Amino acid sequence: MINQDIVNYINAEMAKGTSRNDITNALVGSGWQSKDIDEAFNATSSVAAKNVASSSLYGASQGLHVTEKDYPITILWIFKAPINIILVSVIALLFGYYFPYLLIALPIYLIANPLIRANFHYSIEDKFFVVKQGVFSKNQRNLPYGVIQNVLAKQDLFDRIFGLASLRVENASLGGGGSDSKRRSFRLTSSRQEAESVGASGNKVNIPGLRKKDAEALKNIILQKMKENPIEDNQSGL
Amino acid sequence: MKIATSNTRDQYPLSTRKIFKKTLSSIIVWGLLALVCVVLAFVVAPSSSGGAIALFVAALFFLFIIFIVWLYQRWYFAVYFYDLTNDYIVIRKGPITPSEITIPYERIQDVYVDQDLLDRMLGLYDVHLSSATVSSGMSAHIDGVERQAADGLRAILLNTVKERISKHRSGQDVVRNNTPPPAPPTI
Repeated sequence: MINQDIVNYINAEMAKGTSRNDITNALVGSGWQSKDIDEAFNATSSVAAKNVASSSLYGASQGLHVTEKDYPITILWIFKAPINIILVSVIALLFGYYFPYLLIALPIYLIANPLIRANFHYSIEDKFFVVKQGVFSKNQRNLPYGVIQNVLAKQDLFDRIFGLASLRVENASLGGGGSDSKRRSFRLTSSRQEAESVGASGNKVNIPGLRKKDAEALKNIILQKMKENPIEDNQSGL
Repeated sequence: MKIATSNTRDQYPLSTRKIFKKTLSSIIVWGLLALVCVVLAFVVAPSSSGGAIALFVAALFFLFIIFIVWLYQRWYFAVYFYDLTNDYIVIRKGPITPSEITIPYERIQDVYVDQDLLDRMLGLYDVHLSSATVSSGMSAHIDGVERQAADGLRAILLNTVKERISKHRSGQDVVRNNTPPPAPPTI
């Protein structure tokens, strides 16, 4: 016979994340028979599975495994820097200025950007946001959801015209990005033209060139994960 | 034009004086620039008829720029969006290049209210939030609210943060004290 008390206890412990072994040991310590414990586990696991499936607002946050294949950096992003260069050069030529160095940079961007894009992978794991990147030297960054400080979504002029957006997820590492503040010299208008890097650098993970609705969806998934994984008492999110 | 509304913006609205303030600061900057140019022009070529025409053109150009700035500020004011949802605060600004920042309440490190000189003259306040990153301090602010809205925003933010932090802490304690139920007596 299954006692409701033990079922409730098991449910509460599993919601906290206690392993089945620990729960079993605690129950045995309280005097329960092992076959009763197993029956109770069988009863709870079917209920728990149903709860998991129905409680997620965005299915991707619980069951599915979201990677960059679901919300990819668009191919258009590869051409963003070259198009900007061409535009600037044309406008400058109209005024009578010629920038040869810009045009040299053009083929470099056309080769580098596809490589960067092909080597950039991210995935929404259960407890971490994993980012792998690197053309020559590879690195992998694991970001627990509990320490994400803020999520920024930005669009510059090119993005606005072509319906792209870039997403930036920041945590508090490396002084919260304080080392970049040296570049903030006095400007008449607030400048958002800092070089858009791809992937993890400093305290942030920057994913540029997403489609606008992909960026929104990914942002919502990350926010949902952040809500489900709040920071524990210790300062590290691990 | 349509103003981006939310519950929060209805409760703690931006002041329309903000448009005036931003235009005023542009007038000061451009006005100084125009004055310097006009003075230089007079010093370089002090002929009377040419000087009058140049002055007139400069004045027209100045007025045109101010008009464009005023239109842009009106557009900026309309697109400015901020909302306090259940879990986070979202602030979206920028008509041409929008940028949006989302900060969950638990990550808010401080709430900071200030006024610059023009703000003081017009009775406006800026409410700044920041999380532990430098860029949040630069971009997460609601500027151009009046006194009542500034106090209200500050109070509601601080309250929500306090509630969130204490709920976490008490939630942890309750869960940790869960002990297994006593076994029924064996027959």
